[in-house]
Amino acid sequence: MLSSTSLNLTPEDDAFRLEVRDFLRTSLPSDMRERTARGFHPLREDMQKWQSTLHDRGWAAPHWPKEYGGTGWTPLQRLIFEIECYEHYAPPVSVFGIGLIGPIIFTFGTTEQKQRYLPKILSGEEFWCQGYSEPNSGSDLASLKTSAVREEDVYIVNGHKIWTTEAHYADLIFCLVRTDPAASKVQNGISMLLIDMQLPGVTVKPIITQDMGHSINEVFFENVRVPATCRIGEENSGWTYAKVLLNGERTGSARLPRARQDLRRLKSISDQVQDGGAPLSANPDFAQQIALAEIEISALEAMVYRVLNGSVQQDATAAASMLKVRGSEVGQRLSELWMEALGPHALPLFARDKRANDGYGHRSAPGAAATFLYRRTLTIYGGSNEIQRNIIAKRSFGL
Amino acid sequence: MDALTNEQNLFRESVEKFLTAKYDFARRRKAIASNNGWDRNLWREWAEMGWFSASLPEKFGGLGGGWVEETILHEAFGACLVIEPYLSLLALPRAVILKHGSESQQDKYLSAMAAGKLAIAMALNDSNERHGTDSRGTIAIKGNGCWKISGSKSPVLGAPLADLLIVSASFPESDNSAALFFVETNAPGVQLREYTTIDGQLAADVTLDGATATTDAMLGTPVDARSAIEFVFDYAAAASSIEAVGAMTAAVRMTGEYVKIRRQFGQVIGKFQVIQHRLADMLMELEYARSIAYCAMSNLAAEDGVRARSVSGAKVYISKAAKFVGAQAVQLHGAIGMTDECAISHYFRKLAVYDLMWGDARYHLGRYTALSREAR
Repeated sequence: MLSSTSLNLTPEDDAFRLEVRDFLRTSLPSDMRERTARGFHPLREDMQKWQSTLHDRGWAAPHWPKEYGGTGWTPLQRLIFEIECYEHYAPPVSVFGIGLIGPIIFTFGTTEQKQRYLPKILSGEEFWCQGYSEPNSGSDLASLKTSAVREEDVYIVNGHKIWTTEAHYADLIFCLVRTDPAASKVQNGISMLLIDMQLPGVTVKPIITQDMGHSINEVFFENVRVPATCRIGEENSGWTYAKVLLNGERTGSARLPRARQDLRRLKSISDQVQDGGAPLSANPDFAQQIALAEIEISALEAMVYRVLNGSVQQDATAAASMLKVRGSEVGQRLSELWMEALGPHALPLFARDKRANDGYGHRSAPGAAATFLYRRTLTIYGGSNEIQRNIIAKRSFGL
Repeated sequence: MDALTNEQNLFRESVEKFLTAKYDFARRRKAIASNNGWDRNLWREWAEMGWFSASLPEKFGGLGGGWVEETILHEAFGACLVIEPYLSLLALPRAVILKHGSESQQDKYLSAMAAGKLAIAMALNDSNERHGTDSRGTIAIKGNGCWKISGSKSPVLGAPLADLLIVSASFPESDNSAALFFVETNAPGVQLREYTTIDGQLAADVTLDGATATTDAMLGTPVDARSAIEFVFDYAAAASSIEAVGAMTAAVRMTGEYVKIRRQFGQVIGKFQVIQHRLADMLMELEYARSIAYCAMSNLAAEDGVRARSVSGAKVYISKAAKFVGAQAVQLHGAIGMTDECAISHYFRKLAVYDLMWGDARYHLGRYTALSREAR
């Protein structure tokens, strides 16, 4: 689908794609590729090793400005890069370090903060997680209660964060904390702190999700003493930094590369599963289901392309919300279709040796069920799809 | 659509400005009530302003534009629910004449069409067929220095206004071959039963009883006739998708405005989250529909397989979007939304027709699926 006709790839872009493909074929270790293909939550070692490989090649952070270690690629080249990485089952790049806090630090951070944190994000030496949600602050994030009380040159932090993805991998957490409980508007009493996970008083507790995997956690803060120099920007302005669309990755939330890979997997499963003596893909009803999914993805791709070339006449935030809603729905739909295709073969979860994940069940099944189960998160995290619809209604209709 | 050039932007502004000023909803209702199907003066005015020659190649006196200019026109016509049959009587026959017509046919027809002096209707759908790319019900028999064509076609959009028809017919002697013919609307043996469609267009059932087409009145050759017919249907499906996108854009905007003035339970209904989310969903469907529609329109010039898949995929998607947006625009207006005096009901009717013409979603899903199987 990413043919020259739909995305109008220039010869330069095509050459770029081949360069990326070549790099992936030579640099991505096969065991790492296997693990990613089988739907495990990526191992920290894999993510770290892959990040350092990318860093050595100068491709650690495609969407960062060049002066901070970015690549200087066009938005289309970044998309091509991401698609190729998916097609070759490279481990995902850290969402929290490269994707989220890096851009916040180089935009709002002090020189010292930039020097301290950015190089190790790029090299993969330090991992980050995001401390936003709390047990009683999900969609209503601004109601968060974790407190940070200033005492000379430190903040004393107390509170409870939850749904913290990869906290068990992370060296650092960027947190929204309440610094002014009396602020007239709750959004105006929040600051952003960069907190070392090794500090005394920080505890991580795993949460096992319905896929029986460990991706998310609770994080507790008990009288944690955080140097005031670890605050991003102004005190009580944290909400502004958190909500700005910073990283220039306006189309990332569409997760187009993932959707394309999902479709390939669906076709592969339905070619391998027999349905009354013939491959399921030959069943006309199921072939139509596949076609409908493919058409949804074509629409997503066409929309991503319009956002990239600046021809969408909607407010940028609303457009990003539209991509998030549809991208997450497509991600769920495709994993549902894997399950439909597999039927009873979808039942096995993981082999008893969780890292082997092989040698049982249907050969096309491993990882599909776990991914399906975990993907219910897609419409909940990052601002639930209901919140995204609120944003669209407000931004595009003034409601 | 890529970012527009300056010239394209000016063209778009001038088209939109003209239609906004001169083609309001009251005018549309008057045009439908008049039962004329079009305003000939307006048609000529558009020709004089160069709208009909915007995408015509320069060698026929056109301005040499392309699919972007056509997209601008179709989208604006859709948004203003223009009743004049630009797609049926001009864009569509022009496209097939450009692609398959002989040099003399091109010289004879194209500049006259661009000048607004000649209108040609497409008579493709056999009366007993849902989706008539087949044309086996209409036959052409070799006569004395001419072809004699018999069969019945419906609906033929714009036929009551057309000078000429392009008729698809097959040859009874050779099972699978067909051809397209130019037939004069007032030729002996051609009979029209005229009516107005649910979206206010003038159309007709056309009966041909040994109607004559001269030997030089064949469009293209029997060899490429099937692919020419497929092309016409694809062109129409893509261009009408753009019209639907224009119509949805207007319907979504009007609904967004309406919920800010309609009050119930002591407040404007736009304050209710259920309304907000419905509108957000309508806008999302619209923007994705727009994206895939532009993609299909830009692929009309691609090779047959790419074009067919792109158009069928778009038609499946946009049919779904059009049904949703049309129905929800009426729903959020409440009862007033389904009255003839409220513009929203006209958008609903336009979108309903869009879904059914040129292959409905079921047809295109089947075609897309079959093409995908072939591509593997």
